[in-house]
Amino acid sequence: MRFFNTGKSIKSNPLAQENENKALDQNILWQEIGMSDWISGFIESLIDQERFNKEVLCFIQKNQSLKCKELYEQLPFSNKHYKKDPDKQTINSMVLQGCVALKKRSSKEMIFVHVEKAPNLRPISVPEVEFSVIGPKEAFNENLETNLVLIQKRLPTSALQIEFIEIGQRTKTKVAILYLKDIANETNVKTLKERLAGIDYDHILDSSYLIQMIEDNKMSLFPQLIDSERPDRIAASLIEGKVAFLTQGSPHGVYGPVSIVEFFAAFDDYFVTWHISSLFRIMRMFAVLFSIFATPLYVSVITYHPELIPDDLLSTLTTSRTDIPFPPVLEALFLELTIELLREAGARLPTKVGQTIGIVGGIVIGTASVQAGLTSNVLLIIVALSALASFTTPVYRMSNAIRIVRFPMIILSQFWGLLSMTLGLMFIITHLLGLTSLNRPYLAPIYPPRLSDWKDSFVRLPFYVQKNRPDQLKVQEKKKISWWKKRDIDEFE
Amino acid sequence: MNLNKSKSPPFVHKNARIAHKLVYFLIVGSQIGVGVLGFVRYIAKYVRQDSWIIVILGGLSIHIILWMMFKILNKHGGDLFNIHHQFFGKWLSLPLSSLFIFYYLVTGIVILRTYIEAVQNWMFPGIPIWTLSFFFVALTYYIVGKGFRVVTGIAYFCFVLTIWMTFTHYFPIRYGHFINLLPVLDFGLKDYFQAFKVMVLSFLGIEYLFAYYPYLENPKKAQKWAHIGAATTTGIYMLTTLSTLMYFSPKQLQGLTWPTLQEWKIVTLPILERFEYVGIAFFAIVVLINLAIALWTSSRGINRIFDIKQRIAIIPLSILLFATPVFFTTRFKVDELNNIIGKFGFYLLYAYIPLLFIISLLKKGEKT
Repeated sequence: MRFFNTGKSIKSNPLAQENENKALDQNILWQEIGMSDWISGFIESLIDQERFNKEVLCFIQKNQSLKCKELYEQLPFSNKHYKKDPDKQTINSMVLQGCVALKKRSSKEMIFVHVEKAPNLRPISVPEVEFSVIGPKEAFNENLETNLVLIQKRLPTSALQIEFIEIGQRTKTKVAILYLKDIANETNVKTLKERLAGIDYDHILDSSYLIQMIEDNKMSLFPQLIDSERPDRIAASLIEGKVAFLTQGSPHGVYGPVSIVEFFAAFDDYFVTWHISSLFRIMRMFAVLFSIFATPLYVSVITYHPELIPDDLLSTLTTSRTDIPFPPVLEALFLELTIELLREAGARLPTKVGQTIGIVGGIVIGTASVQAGLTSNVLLIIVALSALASFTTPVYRMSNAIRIVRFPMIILSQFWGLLSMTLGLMFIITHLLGLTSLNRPYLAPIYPPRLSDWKDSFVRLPFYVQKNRPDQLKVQEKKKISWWKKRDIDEFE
Repeated sequence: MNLNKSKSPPFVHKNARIAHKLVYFLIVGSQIGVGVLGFVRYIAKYVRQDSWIIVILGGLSIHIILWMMFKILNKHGGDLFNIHHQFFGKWLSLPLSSLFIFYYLVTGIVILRTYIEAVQNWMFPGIPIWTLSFFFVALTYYIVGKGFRVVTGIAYFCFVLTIWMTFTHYFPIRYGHFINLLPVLDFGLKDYFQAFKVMVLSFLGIEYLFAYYPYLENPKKAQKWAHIGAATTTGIYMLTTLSTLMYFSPKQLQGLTWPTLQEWKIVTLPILERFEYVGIAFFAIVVLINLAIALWTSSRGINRIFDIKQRIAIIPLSILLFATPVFFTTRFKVDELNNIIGKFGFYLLYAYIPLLFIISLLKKGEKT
C-alpha cells in the first residue's frame, strides 16, 4: 500500500510487491511513547523528528486515553491512514515512505501519519542548458512537488490534469502526467499513459530513462520526445495541447507529440520579436544542414568533382591542399574526431578547466596540424564551423544526433561523391518520414504538408497570426485567440 | 494462397491512407523519370522543331486517359486487380493482373538501368552496374518497407528537392535562338504519329494509380489534383523541349544522347562551375521515387492476387530489381529495353485502358 503526498493511493506493481524485502522491518525503529501504552515505529532518516515530537507526540500525550480509531479521527493531520490489521508488508511500505506508524500495545489497529522530512534540495536555479537572455529564469529541480508547483503556478486552471503513476520496481519513481483536459487530444494522452504504465523495469533514475523506453522507434538516432528544464516551456506545450510528464528526481520535464522542427526552436524565440526569432530559426536550420553536409561535401567535391569548383576558389583550395599526404576523407575524419574529442573532454571536465581545454586544444591542435601539413586550413575552417553549427540546436539530444549523422555521411561521400551523398540524404529523409512521436507524424508540418502549421515552425510569425493550435496534435479546441481585429485605415475606436 | 483475394475490394486502414492532395506528387513523381534527360532527341528525330506540339498533344491525351481511369475506378471501386476480377472472372484476371505486376516491376528496372547508364557516361565511367543498383534497391526496399505513406512522402520530397532544377532551363533559353522553332507544322501526319508513339514512354507513370487508388482518402477530390499533376508534368516537359530545341540545332541534337545534361554544362553560378554533376546526383532522387512506386505497386499486386504478405513479396521483387540491370550491359540493350517498354506502355495507355473504359460503361458498377 503506497500513497502519494496528496494522499492518493498508488496501485502497486504486483511483481514489485512480490519482490518487496520482507525482512526489512529491522530498519524500523519501534519506540515507546512515554507514559502511555502507545508505541511508534519509523525510520529515523526519513521523518522529520521535530515535527513528530511537537505535533504527534504532544497530541498523543494529551489524549492518552483515546482508542485507536478515535485518535485517528482526532489527529490534526490531513495525510493520515488507518488500518485495522495491517500485514508486515503494508507496514514496511508505509514506513518506507516516511510515515510514522502508531499503535496501541494491546490492539492490532494502526495509524499511519505522514511526517516525512522535507528533502534538502537544490534551490530553484537558472536554466543552464536552455538559458535565455530575456524571460523567466526558473528551472526545474529534482523534487517532483516543487516542479509541479512551478507548472501549476503558471496554469491556474481546473483543466490541468495531473495523474500520478509509479514506475520502477525498486526505485518506485513517481511520475506525474500532465495535460489540459479540454484541449489535449485524448488519444495522445492515452498513448502516453499506456506506454508509461507498460514499463516494467527495476530502476528509473531520470526522465531520460523513460524517454528511451517509450519512444516510438527505439532504434532511431533521433529523439522523438523533447525534454526541457524550463517550466515555462512545459506549460506552453501543455497549452498547445501536448502531454507532458515529470519524474521524481529529474530536473527535466518531457513532452510530446513533437515534430522535428520543434527541436530547432528555442523557447527564447517567443520572447523576442517575431522577425528576429524567425531569422534565428532559419539560421539554425541552415546551421543544421551545414553541420551535416559541409564536410561530406568537401570530401566528395575534392575527391571526385573538382570540376565543380569555380576558378578563383580552386586556386585557394589547391594551395591549401598541395602538401597534404592523406586523401580528403581521412583528413576530414581526423579533424572531425579531434573536434569530437575536444568536445567530449570539455564536457567531462569541470566548467573552468573545460573552457581552457577547449580554447587551448582548439587553437593549438588546429594550428599545429595545419602547420605540420596534416590537414588543410580550408577543411579546418569547415570542420570548426560545422561543429559550431551543431551547437546551435537548442535541444541537446538533437544536437547529439546531428553530430553523429555527419560521420556516416563523410564515409558515404567517399563512395561516389555527390551521388552517394544524395542517397544518404534520401536515407535520412526516409527514416525521418517513418518516424512518429506518440503516433503522430514526426516530420509533421513538412510532410504531411500542413501549411497552417508553418507559422510556428521554420519561422515564428507574430502571435496574432497564430490563431489556431497546430493541426498535428488534433486538439479538441483549435482556437487560440479570437480578440484580434484588424483596424481599417482611418478607423478608430 | 488465396487466389480469390482480389475478388473483394481492398481494405485499407485509415492510418495507411494519404490525403487526396498528395496524389499530385505521386503523379508527378511517377511520370517524370530519367527520360526527361534525353527524350527530346527521340521525338525530334521525327518532327524536329515541332516536337513541342507532340508534348502538348501527349499531355492532353494523358488527361483523357487519366479521366477514363478515374471513371473506371470511381465506378467499380477498389483497384485494378479487383476490376480485372470483376470484368474477366477469376482465371482470366490472373494472367492479366500478373502481366501488370510484371510491367510495374519492369518500369522500375528500365529507369534504374537507364540512370546507371547516365552515371556511367557522365560521372563514373568505370562504376560496376551492380554496386549502384544494389545501393538503389536497398534504399528502395527500405522505403517500401515503411509503407505507402512513406512512399508518398518520398514523392513529396522528390518534388520539393528537384523542382528547382527546372529553372536551369533559363540558361539554354537565354543563349538559344527562337528561330530554331520555326517553321511550325512542317511534317506529315505519319511523322507526328511516330513521334507521339515515342513520346508516350516519358508520360508513363499514371497507370500506377490503378494500384494505389484505394489508398486515397477522398478519391473523388483527388481527381482534380491528379490532373493538375499531369499538367505539371506536361509543363516541365514543355519547358525542357523548348529549351533543348532552341539551344541545339536539329542536327546537333541527333548526335547527343542526353541533351538536358549537355545543356547543364553551360549553367554556371558564382559558387558552382559545372552544374551537370549536381544535376545527375540529384536525379538519383527522381529515380528513387520511380523505383519505390514500381516496387510498391508490384508487391501490392502480388499481395492482392496471390494473397502473399507484402513484406515477403518485396524480397524476391527487390532481388529481381537489383539483379536484372546487370544483364543489360550495353547502350544498345538499354535502348532496346526502353523501346519495348515504351511500346507496351503505348498500347497499355491508348488501347487497354480505353477498352477497360468501354467494358466499364457496359457493366453495372458495384457499390462498395
